[in-house]
Amino acid sequence: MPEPDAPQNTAAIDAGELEIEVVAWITKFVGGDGSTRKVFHLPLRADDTVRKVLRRLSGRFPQLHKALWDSVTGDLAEHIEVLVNDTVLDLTHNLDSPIGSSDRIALIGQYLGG
Amino acid sequence: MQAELPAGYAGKILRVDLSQNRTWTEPWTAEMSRTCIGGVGLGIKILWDEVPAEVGWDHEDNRLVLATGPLAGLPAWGTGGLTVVTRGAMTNGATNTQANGFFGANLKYSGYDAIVLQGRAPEWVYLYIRDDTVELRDASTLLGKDTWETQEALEQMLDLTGHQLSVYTSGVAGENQVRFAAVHGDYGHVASKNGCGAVMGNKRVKAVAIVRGSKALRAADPRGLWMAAQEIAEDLQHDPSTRSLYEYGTLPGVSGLSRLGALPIKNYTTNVVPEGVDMTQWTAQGLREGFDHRGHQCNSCGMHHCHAQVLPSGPHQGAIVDEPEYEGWSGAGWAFGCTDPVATSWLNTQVDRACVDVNEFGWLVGWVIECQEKGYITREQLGGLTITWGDAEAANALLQMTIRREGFGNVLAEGVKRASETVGGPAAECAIYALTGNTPRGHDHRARWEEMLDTCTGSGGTLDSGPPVLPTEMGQPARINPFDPDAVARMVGGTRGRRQFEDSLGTCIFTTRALLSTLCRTLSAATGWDFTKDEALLFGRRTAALMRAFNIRCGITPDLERPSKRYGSVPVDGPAQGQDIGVHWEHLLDVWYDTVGYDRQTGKPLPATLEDLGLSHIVADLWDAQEATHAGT
Repeated sequence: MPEPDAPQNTAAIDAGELEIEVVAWITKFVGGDGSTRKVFHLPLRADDTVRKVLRRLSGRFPQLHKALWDSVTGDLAEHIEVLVNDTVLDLTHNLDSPIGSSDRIALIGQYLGG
Repeated sequence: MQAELPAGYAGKILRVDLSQNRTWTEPWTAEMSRTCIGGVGLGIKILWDEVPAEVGWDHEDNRLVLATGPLAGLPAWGTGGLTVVTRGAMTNGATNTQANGFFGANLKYSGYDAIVLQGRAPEWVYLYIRDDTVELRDASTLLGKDTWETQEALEQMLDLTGHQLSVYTSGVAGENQVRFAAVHGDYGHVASKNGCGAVMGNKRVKAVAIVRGSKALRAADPRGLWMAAQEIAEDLQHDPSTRSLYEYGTLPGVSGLSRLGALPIKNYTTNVVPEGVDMTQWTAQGLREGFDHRGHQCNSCGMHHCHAQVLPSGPHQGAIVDEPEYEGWSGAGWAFGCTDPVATSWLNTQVDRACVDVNEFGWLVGWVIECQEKGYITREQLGGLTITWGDAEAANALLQMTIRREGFGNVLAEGVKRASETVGGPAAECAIYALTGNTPRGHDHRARWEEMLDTCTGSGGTLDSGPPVLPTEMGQPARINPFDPDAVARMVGGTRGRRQFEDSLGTCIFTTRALLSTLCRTLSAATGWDFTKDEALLFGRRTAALMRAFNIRCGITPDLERPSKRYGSVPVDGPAQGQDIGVHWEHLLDVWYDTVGYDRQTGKPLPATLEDLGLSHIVADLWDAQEATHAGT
């Protein structure tokens, strides 16, 4: 099940905002039309990681949650590529890397070509 | 008593000796159908058995196998599939390349599962098939016609329209044995890899024309087939991964790959989208809605993938073209700096009509432009042509001189590897190719290491494994660090076999993006077998190993398994800037060889691997007894 958003007045510490860009096709999973892009600004918490902010975003959008996470392992599934600062995951950041307001995340569709 | 051939099959292989103007049929056996299935599984067995080392791609004894599979013509999506298998012109080794449309269904309704062409016709012919009527007919009036014109002419000659007639031809490029000529049919479907069209042209076959036959096909378990096919269709429509494929085919590729540094721009000289390019027109919706369009589906297909479109503006406004696949947007556009979707769409159809591989074309044009810009190729060499980045009209001029081998086009017709070697000097360092002759797909593989490794080690003229499909089902991780050489090599090696299984079914790989277990259930319902995922992978790996063995026999050795200097260079900008595959190359090969069970030194599948795959009968062909004893130890 998607994790619900934590109430704003509990563990949240105002550490700025993080930009998450959802690109083209993936916008269909967050209420978009599958074209252009949608940008979210998520309030950051002091101990935020890539995983935590993605969990918070996908908690608001069940379709994104289903596409983003493997329902068995709880890790990222293969359907969506995650970029941090325009770089694919595992180069400069992994899922458990701390993330701050100077970082940017982008979600783009897995390549399905022939 | 011989076991009955399973359901799903038409039952016969059509053999055509072009030199003798003779046709005959051979029956399948039940055992052969299960071990070869169809498509590439059947084709590579024929190559192994009938094409010895001394029979090169342009030898008349080479075989051109046009095969379908047990699902072709049955009521599952995308079941018009054609697999072309031959000793191809680019690598002078095995070829495994697919097209869709209606070929597979029409052929099976005529009573055949495959066509095997051998010999060379004394004069140009086309092969006409209508049920039991099989004839080699004079093709002199078709010479000089492009692929669409050839189909139109045959429709007129035979008084057939629509999907009553499936025509596959190698166009003008095939007539002139352009080394990267393709086999094209049904207005926009192309088996493009490894110069299979050059082989068709070498045999003086202008076209294969198949009237939709009148023979019924049966499934062993019709209800089971419907249910399995419906499950695949539901998955394609609703699975997060395949929903975009269902709605838009491969159109999302441009916008997505541009963010990964994997969209090839200007012959690998940059990975940054030029300033001022409106990328909203390059999203899937932008590319679909930017044109008047209508569906142009293949046999029995419910995908919203293949479309025809009308050019809305520009010098060719109003022209009806085939909506490009991702590879077309790339090869007929971005690879040489064309960022105008209308111009790219027009050029893509010119490439289809000319009948060459759009990937190779893109690398060739990008190379010529860079070389002319740097002064390595002169305007005079190009017959007065000036070509600059993004100029689609000039790229078409280059295409036309290439397919006719006019002037410098005769050099270009050999493909970018050989053309760059001919020009030599610094020009040779700008060309994108694998040393085997395999043509890279239309990506910047410097940001997709899996595909560069797969392209360089592939035995069929292109990728052997392809992008992983549901890798966890094969015991692989869902995702890997794309720049981790160990993970990359294990993924490419570990997913080996699935693609060869799919390429043997007579279906389209876009409609088989489902769990292997579901595909096996579909195959079992069609044939009556109890086919399992393990058997599918064993089959696929056996087929891949036989292709490898064939190539070894052809003299394709591991020292060729590397990228050209530009193909393996380090990106200077963009998301993959600084990532250097070259320093890891030997390690990538070490891990890949270990994963697939082949010998690192000779490239041969190890004797133990061959035994495990059910290929013990070819061990002695590849290994002498002493070698075999020590191999892999």
